[in-house]
Formats: sequence, C-alpha cells, structure tokens
Amino acid sequence: MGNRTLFLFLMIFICASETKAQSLLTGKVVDESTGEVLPGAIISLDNLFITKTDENGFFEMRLPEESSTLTISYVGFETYYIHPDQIKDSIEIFLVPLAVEMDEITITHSADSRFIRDSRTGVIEISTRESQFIPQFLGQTDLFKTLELMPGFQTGGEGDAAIYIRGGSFDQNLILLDGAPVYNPSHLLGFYSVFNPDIIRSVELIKSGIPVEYGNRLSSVINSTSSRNVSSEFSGGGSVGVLSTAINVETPFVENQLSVYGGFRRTHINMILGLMDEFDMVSSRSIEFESGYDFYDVNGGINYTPNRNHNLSLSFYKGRDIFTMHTPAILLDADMNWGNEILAFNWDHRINRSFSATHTLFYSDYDFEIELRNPAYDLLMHSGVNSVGHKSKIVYSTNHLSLHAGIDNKYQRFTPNSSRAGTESVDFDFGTVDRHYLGEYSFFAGFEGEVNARWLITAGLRLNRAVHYGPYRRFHYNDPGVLSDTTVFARGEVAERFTRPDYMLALRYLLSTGSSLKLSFNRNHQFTHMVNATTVAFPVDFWIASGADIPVQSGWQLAGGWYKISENRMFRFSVEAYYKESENHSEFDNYFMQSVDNTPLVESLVYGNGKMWGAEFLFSKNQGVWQGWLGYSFSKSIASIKEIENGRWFPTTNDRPHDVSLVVSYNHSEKWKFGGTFVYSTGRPYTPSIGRYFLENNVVSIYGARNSDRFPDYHRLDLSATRILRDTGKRYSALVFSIYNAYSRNNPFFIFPKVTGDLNEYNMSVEPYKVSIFPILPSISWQFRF
Amino acid sequence: MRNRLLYNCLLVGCMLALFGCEESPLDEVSHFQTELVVDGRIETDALAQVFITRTIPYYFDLDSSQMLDFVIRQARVEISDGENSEVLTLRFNERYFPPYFYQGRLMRGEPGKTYELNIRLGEMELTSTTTIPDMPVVDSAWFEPSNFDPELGTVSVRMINEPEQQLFYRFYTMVYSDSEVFHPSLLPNFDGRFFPEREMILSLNKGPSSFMKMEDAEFLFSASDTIVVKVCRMDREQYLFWESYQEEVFGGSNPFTAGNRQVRSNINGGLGNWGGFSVVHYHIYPREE
Repeated sequence: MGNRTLFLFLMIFICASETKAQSLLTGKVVDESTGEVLPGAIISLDNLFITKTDENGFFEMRLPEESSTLTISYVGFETYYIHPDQIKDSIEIFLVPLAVEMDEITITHSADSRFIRDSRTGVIEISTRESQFIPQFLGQTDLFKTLELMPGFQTGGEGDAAIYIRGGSFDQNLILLDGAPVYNPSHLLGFYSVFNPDIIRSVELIKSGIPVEYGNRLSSVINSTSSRNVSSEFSGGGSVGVLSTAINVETPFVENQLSVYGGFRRTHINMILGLMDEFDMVSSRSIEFESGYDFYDVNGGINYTPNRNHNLSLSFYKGRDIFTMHTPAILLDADMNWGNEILAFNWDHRINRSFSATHTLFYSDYDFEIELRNPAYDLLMHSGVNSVGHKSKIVYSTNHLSLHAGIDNKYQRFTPNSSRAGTESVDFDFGTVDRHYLGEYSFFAGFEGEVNARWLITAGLRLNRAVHYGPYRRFHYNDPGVLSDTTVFARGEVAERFTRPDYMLALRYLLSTGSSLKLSFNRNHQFTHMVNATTVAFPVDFWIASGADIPVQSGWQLAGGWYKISENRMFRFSVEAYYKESENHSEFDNYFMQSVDNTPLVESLVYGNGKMWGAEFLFSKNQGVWQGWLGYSFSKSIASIKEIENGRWFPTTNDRPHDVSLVVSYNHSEKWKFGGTFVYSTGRPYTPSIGRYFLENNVVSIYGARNSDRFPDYHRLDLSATRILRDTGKRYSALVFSIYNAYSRNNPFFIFPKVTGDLNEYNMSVEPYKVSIFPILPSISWQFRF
Repeated sequence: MRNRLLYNCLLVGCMLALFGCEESPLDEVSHFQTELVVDGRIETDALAQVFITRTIPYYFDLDSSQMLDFVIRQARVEISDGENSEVLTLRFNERYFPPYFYQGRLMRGEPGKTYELNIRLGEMELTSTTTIPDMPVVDSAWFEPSNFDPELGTVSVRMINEPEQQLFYRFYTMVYSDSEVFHPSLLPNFDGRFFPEREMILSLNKGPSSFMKMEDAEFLFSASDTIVVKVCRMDREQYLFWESYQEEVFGGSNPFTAGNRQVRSNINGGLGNWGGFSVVHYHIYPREE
C-alpha cells in the first residue's frame, strides 16, 4: 500500500514537472454588475490547461509557448474570451451576468467544469442569488430549504428541524458559518434556517468524499459563507412580510478597502399561535393548550482588503428562539429558549504565485433552556456547548497539482444537563453539574492532481488527537446499579485521550468533455455526540463529548457516480450510489423525566452500529424560460444496539426509503416569475403502541418493536409568484406571493393516543390522534434592494 | 455512446443490487399478544392486595361488559414470606376499577421481610418478589395555604432523611370529602439523594384520581378538608418502576416527554408490579392548625 501511494505521488509530481510552462498569467475575475469577486470561475486554455479562481477571485496559470484563446466562464455569466494577443502577465476580467439566467434557479454543483471535472462526489453548492425564485416559505428564501430539495438531504418531516444526510444522524453533520461550527442551524421548528439569505453568500453541501480539512463529523459538511467582498458603496435590502421582517445594510468605510455590514430578522406576527391550537397534543387528557413562538437573529461583519494579497473579515451572529406553552388544566407552564452565538475571523492570504493561506479563528456557543413551572415545583434545565478554535491551511497550486496542509484545533466545553428545581420552601440538591471538556488537535494534508487528461486523483490524511480533560467524575456502579465508587479527575487532568486517523481518496475518470465517472472513499471519526431525549424534534438536545465513559464515533463511506452534461449545456444528469457504516452512535435509552436532574447523561446512553445505503438521481435543466430539477433518492438507514431488542437491526428515525423533489421555475416576463416545488418522502419511522393495560386507575401503553411503524407519507406542494416592481440592477423591488402546502396536506407532526371514557364508569375508548402544524399558508412579502 | 451509457447504468445497477440485498428490518412487524398484568402491593401492617387484568389491543372502544372481560377472577394467588404463606381471596369493590381483586386474610407486611408472589391461571404461572424497607421517619405534616387563596393550599411533610443512604419515597393523599381512596400526589416519587440535609421538607400537590380525568382535577387541597398523607418508603427497584409508570401516564401524550420505552415490570411471565412499602399515615386537619 505504501509503495502504491509513493508511486502515485511520484507520478503526479512527474506530471506536474513535465508541464511546459513558459510564462505565468495572473488575474482576477469580477462580477461586472456588482464589483464582487467571483470565486470558482473557470479559466481554460484549449481545454487542456484549466484552473479556477480562489476565494478572492484570483487565479494563476502557466501558459505554454504557443497560446491560444483563453476562456473564462462562470455559471450565470456570459463566457469571456481573450485572444492570445490580448493576454498580458496580469489581467482583471469583468464577467457580465446573463440577463435571464441570473434570476433563475441554477444548481451550481457546479459550474459545468466542476460538475464534470471535480473528483468529489456528492457535492452541491447553492448561492443565495440563485435560490431567489424558488417558492418561498413565510416570505423568505432559505438556503436550507433549497438544499432540502436535493437528493440525499432529508428532514424529519413536519415541524422537525433536524437534518439527515444520506441516513446519517443530525449530529454527524458539520455545519459551518464562516468556518465556525453551528450546533443548531434552525429557527421555528426548522422552517427558517439561522442563515440569513441577505447575509450568506453561498452554502456548500458535501455528502461524501469529505475533504480532510474538515473533521469530527461522519456524515456531511454544510459550509456557509457570508460575503467577504469590500463594498464600494452604501447598499441595503430586506423584506417585509406577513410573518417576518428582515433588513440589511452595507457601507464602505475606506474606499475599496474596508466595509461594514449588518442584518436583522425577526418574526413580528405570531401567526403560529393560532396554528398551534392544533397542537392539542395533550388533548387525550382534554387539557387546554396554549403556545407562542418567536425568534430573531442578528448578523454583522467587517471586511478589510488592504491589498490584493490579503482579505480579512470579522463576522458575528446571534439568534434566539423562544417557545412558550401554557396548560392551565394541569397548572403547568413551560418556557423554552435556545440560540447560537458565533464570532468568526477569517484571513485569506495570497503569499506568492503558488502559495496561499487561509486562517480562521472562531468562537461558537449554543444553549437551550427549558423551564417548567407548576404549583408543586419549578424546574429549570439548561444544556449547552461552546467552542473556541483555530484553523490554518496552506495551499500550493500549479496547473495540474494542488497540495494543501494545515492544522485544525478546537477546545469545547459541554454542559449536557444542568438543572435547578425546588418548591417554595426548599431547593432540591441535584449534585454537581456534569461537564465535559474536550480538546481536538488535528493535522491534515492532501493533494489533488491530474494524472492525465482523464484521471484526477484527490487524497488526504488527517491525524486527530482528542483529549478529554478534567474536571470530571467517573462513576462506578455495582451490579444493582447503585453507586459504588467515584474517580475524580482534577481540572486540566487528562481523563482520556484518543488518536484517530481520517483519510479520503477520490478518483475521477473523464469519459468525455461532458461526462465523467467518480468514486470516493472516506474514513472519519467523531468525538462529539448529540442525544435527543424526546421522540419529536424539539431542540431538547444534549451535546456531549467522547471521553472516559463515552466512545468515539467512527464511520466510512464508499460512493460513486456518473455525471453527464448535455452538449448544449442545458441539461445535467447525475446518479450517485453510496454505502456507509458507522460505529458507536449514541442513543438515549432512559425516561426523559429521569434525565432532568444532574445525573450524568452517560448513564442514559447506549451505543450501536449503523448501516446506510442508497442511490440518488438528479436531472436538471439550467437554461431557458423553464428551469428546474427533478431529484429522487432511494436510501436505507438501519441500526443495531445491543441494549435495544438484543441488537436486532431496526430502521433509524432517519430512514426514508423514497424521497422525490421536483422544482420548477417559469420566467414568464420581465415582470412576472413563477415557481413551484413538490416534495414527497416516505413517512418517518416511529415506535408504535400496540397494546394497553390498566394499572392504578390509569391506562398504560405497551410499545412495539423499535421504529416498527411509520408516519403517513409526507408530501407537499408550494407555489410562488413574483411581481417585479422595479429592477434596474442596483435597485430592486418585488412582491412575492407564496402558498406553502398548496393543497393543505395534513402531514403529521405527532401521533398520540386519544383516551376517552371513565374507568370507574366501566367505559373507555382509545383512538389514534394526529397533529399537523401547518395547513395551507398563503403569504405575501415585499422585497427590496438598493 | 449508447454502449457507454449502458455500461454506466449497469455499473450503477450492480452497485445498487450489491448494497440493497440486505433484508429490510421493517418486515418484522410488531404483534400484540395478550398477557396478564399484575398490580399488587403489600404494605406494613396491611393485608396484601393484588389486581389482575389482561392486556387489551391498543385501539379499542369498550363498554362495561367488555371491560369486565379483561378482569381476571379465576386465578390462584399465593404470597409467602419464606416462613408463612397464604392464598389470597377474591373480593369485590364496585367503587374502583378493576372491581375484583385478591386480598389476604392473615399475613400483614413487616419491614425487612421479603414477599414472594405466585399466580397460577390455567397453564400460566407468574412470579415476583419484593422487599419492604425500613419505616420512613415523618416528623410532621401540615397544610400550607397558597399565596392567592388561604382556603386552598398544598401539604408539606417534614421528614428525617439519611443522606448517606439513597432512600426512595412515594406519597399518596386521601381527602375524606372526596372518595376515601388514596391517590398519588401530583409528583409522588422522591429520591432522597437530592436532599443533602438530614431534615427534608417536601411539598405535595393533590394528584388527580386518574390522568384520564384531568379536566375535573384539582391540584390544591381545601382548608376545609381532612387530609391523610400516606408516606411510603420503597426500594430502588420500586422507585424505578414508579418513575417509569409516572413518565408514561403523565407525559405519554406530551411530545416533550413522550417516550417509547416500556414501563418497567418485576413480574416474571407478565406485566405490572408487585411492590412492598413501609407506610406511615399522617392526618392533617387544616382548620385546627
């Protein structure tokens, strides 16, 4: 194996050295309409020499002695050609947006070249601009809602904020905002993401072949970035809708060097309140139920570009969700609130012609609180995680070879469950709060090289060192489960350490200029877990660290696909298949109310293995008046846990065998644009009640096999119409009419037994009762940009 | 070109076939099967009581005659403390469901003793064991008027705890003007380890007679009531059972707390619970306080 790797390296270096480079061309590619740089633009010479712009829009290319026409292309822009006579050592290229395409839905996974030529499988990129005309929910475009429409991206269903990529669990997704981890990316039960589309420039989803610069997650990477361009003039935008208002502004401070931006969103009509009346979730007991929901978020940042070799940005995010429940019949009030705080500093540094570096410093915090109040007691439960970290990456690039290496360090503090409770006269003593402290130290290195015109190889290795620090108490129990001994680790003392390597390999074989085959393999480890203690996806989630009592998650994935683009570039088709396995995924196996004290959560956890496999098909049309895509994925996700039904394999809650999404946009005229989406997926599995019995004057459920039944299938149609009032390029104003769930499908959020009757009267019935949150929801919003 | 397309499709098809050959676990569907359910207890200075019923399918609509079909009246129920044993007698109480239950005549519960339960019904045999712990130490109990209405309030119980041990308690209350039946307080189970001091004061709300009748439930006692507090001490196994039971009946329909875990059981061959309690009764006369 070692010899083969050496051979590959030698081969790639030989290929690189054989390049007959006579002169070096450097340049920058810019959007002519906005002045923003265009990262990822493709520069090619005779289809032989190809490179792309970096994150700052720069590129370099060694030109052969006899040059021919240079082609610069970027999706949504007119292709630019430079005659050999016009080629200088350094050029700045302004691309003109395509009048029609710019405003249409465009899947940019990839610009044509990336779609076919990249070695990575399972990569989807979407920019905010390109998702503008997808039907909007509650008045805002949402990148996550757009990603949901792609094969392999699944959600929990109605009102479920969780994200499942190719059957993996939610915690196995590395979600980044400007390089900082985001522990909960959703507002409002998943209907908004925390990524304000007015601020975020693009989102990239990597489902397989995960690059080694990313670590500590098994399933996917969702990388969102805010704009890093220095604004040349004051600008702003926003939307005012039935349910939410958003506004953002950006202004330069030093011409072409320094600008500042900020954005704010919040719900201002609690329309959900009325809808939540359907939440009659405890109506089996005929209890009145009232609820309220609110959220806000704030983004801001500073971009500084002192010269063409440096780009510095500082960005922050703060958001909060507030959910209240009032059940007067049992004198119970519940308040929940949760949110993220993120601060990220990024420095992109172009060192010389071949070397560039990026550095990231970040702080991220997520917490949630739930407070339950009744006459008997008050209970406040808090859970949270915060992290501070640093990442540096150096890249060396030539025409046919790219090498990169870097370090990625992070220190995280977890507070899985911290509770306070008491009555009017006494406070309960729940003991010491259980906290976990985890340091992650990683080094990574990799390369991407073209062996010849058809073969491209990408490979990488990441060495991870994770250290679980004290203070920590490790409990030992005797057979009946009674505490027998405790080992105490002092602050800073090492309770456990792990060394785990991640690695990946990806191959691309070019069948023709318009089609390719790709294959990738990656092996990853994860030193964190997220445990959901409830059967629905309220954010009652506990983040915990691997350590003295909790094992490391690990997994691998093999994926391959065929990618085809039509000769006229109008149609794209791809099919990808994958197989994944994971080990040591955690599952909560206790009663929720028994976890509300400070008892270490580790006592409620069990661990098992998972298997996931599937295939994803995507057909898209990217030009013309009608555009859109049709996606279908078949997938299976099963798990085996020794403590649950003796290790029998059962479907995970992420198991969705069939998932279909159809997205269509129609550009009727300069004034009117229409869009529609239809989604269908198999209902999510749940553990049904299969029997009942009487005990102490109550009715008790008997539960069947784990996840042995399913919710009804989920399907929904959304429609939108956009009336453009004004569009001068710089100034834009439009009314967006949208209908969410156009035929008012009652997709269940929760199914529960409705019990009626009276035991003492000797009559009783139990019926299934289904709660749906959102019926048909029309909305209107005014969007503007100046 | 066509051949290449065919080749690629075959390749993907083979991959799918390779990956998709595993048997779907959903083929195994949960099946309901009838089991016997025991709700039995033996308390200090009291005769053992055992209710036996059958499980019923999940969704149902039962009238009075059908409900009685699920009550077991032909079982042989025997208890033993290792030295003595007794076969319980079928009795009838129309004010409670199930109305038929088995009760001892001679043996009364004693602290520190272990009691075995043996039930035979046709070919079926159910067994269980429970131990009655030492007596709880109750210092006092009193009516605590609420801030908003002195005629309504909670009950406070001052107890002597042993923090170095992990003691478990369950509380019932009875109001003479209601039904003369003990009902669990609103949150009836307590783990003594959360009370680091030797003296602990607990606040109890009135519990509903059933979680199926919450619309009529009152959670505060009236100052005109005569209240009896039944303080039960139990072992860890019983505490875990009653906590799992509480989770099911209190939160089974609430998405915050709904679970998918079976209520625990210590019955071999069936479901339910056979529990031993050491019990102290304390009378409260709010008007006289």
